[in-house]
Amino acid sequence: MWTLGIVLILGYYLSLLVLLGTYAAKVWIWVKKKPVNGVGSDKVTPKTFLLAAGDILFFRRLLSVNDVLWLGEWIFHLSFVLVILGHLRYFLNPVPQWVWALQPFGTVAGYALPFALLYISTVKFLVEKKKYVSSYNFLLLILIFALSISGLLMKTVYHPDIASVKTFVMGMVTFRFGAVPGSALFIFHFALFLALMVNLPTHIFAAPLVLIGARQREETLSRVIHEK
Amino acid sequence: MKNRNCFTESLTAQQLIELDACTQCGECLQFCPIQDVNGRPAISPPEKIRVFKEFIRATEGLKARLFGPRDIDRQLLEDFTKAVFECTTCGACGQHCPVGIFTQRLWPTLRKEMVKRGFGPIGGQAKMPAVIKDTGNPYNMPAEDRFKPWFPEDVKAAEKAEIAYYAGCTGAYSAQPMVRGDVLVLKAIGEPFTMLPPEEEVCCGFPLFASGQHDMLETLTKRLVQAYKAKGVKLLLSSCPCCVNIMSRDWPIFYGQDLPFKIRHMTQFAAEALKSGMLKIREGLSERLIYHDPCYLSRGVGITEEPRTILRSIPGVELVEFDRYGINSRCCGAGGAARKVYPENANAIGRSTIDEAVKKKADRLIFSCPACYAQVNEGMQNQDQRIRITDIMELLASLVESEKKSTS
Repeated sequence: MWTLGIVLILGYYLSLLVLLGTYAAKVWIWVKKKPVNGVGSDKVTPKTFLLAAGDILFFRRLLSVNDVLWLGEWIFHLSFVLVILGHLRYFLNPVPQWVWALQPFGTVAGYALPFALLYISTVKFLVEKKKYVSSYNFLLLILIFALSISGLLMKTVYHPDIASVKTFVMGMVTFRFGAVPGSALFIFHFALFLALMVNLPTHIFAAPLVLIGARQREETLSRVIHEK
Repeated sequence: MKNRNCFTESLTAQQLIELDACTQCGECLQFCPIQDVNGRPAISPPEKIRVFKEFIRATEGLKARLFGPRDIDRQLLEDFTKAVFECTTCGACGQHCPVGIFTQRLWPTLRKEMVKRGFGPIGGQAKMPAVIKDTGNPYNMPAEDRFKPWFPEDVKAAEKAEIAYYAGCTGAYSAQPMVRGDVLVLKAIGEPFTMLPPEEEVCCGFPLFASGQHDMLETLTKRLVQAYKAKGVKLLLSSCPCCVNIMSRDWPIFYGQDLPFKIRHMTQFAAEALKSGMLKIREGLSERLIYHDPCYLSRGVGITEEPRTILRSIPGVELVEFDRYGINSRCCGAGGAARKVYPENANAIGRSTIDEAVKKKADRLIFSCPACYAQVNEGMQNQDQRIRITDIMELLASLVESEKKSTS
């Protein structure tokens, strides 16, 4: 168990380093760029920002393109966020009140997550028979599905010792390392989490920025040639 | 240039973020005209983005920074270049992108990066800079034939005026009924207008921009802007969507400051003239018309209403729409300077435009773009499905009253 503990702890730090390093490398490339004063490069107005926030929260653009897929994607992304927020109780001590308040929603989201993934897969592969399927997206789909199923099994059937899970996770966060909980399912779930960290899709952070730009472009399209 | 040098030089920060924002969902494929005709997901928008991100990762990713950049396989670079040059740059993928990537700008930028590395452009596109330098146009046509074959004899352009008309290379050499219509409509409106001499009205730079060959753009822009400025121009008109697109979006960047004149598409000017009564429609037309929105006019600069205002002003006209119209319109196959390089694609896309117009039982297919006009005419050759094709200004010129005196 000691060896496994060391592997998981090192794996956690390595995954975190890869995740942060990858983003640092990206941000470094972004900030090196000089801004270009082209059409539509005006400052984002509060109205545009609010409309863009709506686009981000409700996936408006996807809804206008594919309403059948939108339903599954929106439920999946919402559930994913709620599950992640719910998991903060393992990483924070004391646990903030708002994290406790989110727990019931996190539980419901935990059930919704695999069903949303199944729905998305059915729509993409069986109903719409998409010509283009990204192998990376396929890997993510399997990874998150396995994460959600293993999480649900721990919630409903094979309950790990929550206290030892919290001690182990807090140990990694505070560098006061504790023993790995004696649950094979937890170890599997945690290993999948590490794999997800390394493979976290970049669109999680980049898409909201692009959606703001897209809304800005829509709002200023009439200015390109009509008003200038 | 070595294949391990950075791939991000030509891209803006926003475009780099756009590459990372692509979710690889593949929704755009159903709107891509190239996918409609060849159905190869390997050259689809998300795949092009995925491959280009691989190039960036290999040269500037975390691993490359820690252990040094990796050399990229030449075949992969060549395949990518072909894929990015086969695109019509219509921007329909971006218009329907769930995260809103501005692909009408992204693809030409990726082309620029590949040109810089010596992989593009493709085929005849490579000769364009030299041809434009020699003749002023990308078609290798003599400058003296730019206006002569179509310019109405009874119209005279003023030496100096606040309004100028730019015919554009495609209109002047490949869509002459359109440019003739423009001039006749200007005559009917009655406002004096000026034009540059044929050897001075050089390419606006769009085909070079679209094919990623940016070296001459600043020179061409400054030459044209200064020539119009010297004539006292306050308003520059053109019927070519690609010209008005680059003029309004990119000329200020290449010129280094705001332009000393406004840019307008001819349909805007004509629609305003109809509204103000300066232009009057003389006769009606009992026809069912269908209007095709050019990609660089609709998605590019947001002009969708003015052409419809003109067509609805014609008594007796019934206006029908394509399934995809306005800013969601479907490419006619002419875009992206790929028409002559991938003619099979361009003709197949053009034919599907005709097929849909025929299916909608339209009597006439109306364009407001010389490239669309030329492409769809070409696509109709040796085809069973046929429809009468007319440019909107050609149509308007035939219907407006022309009592007013010629401009001078």
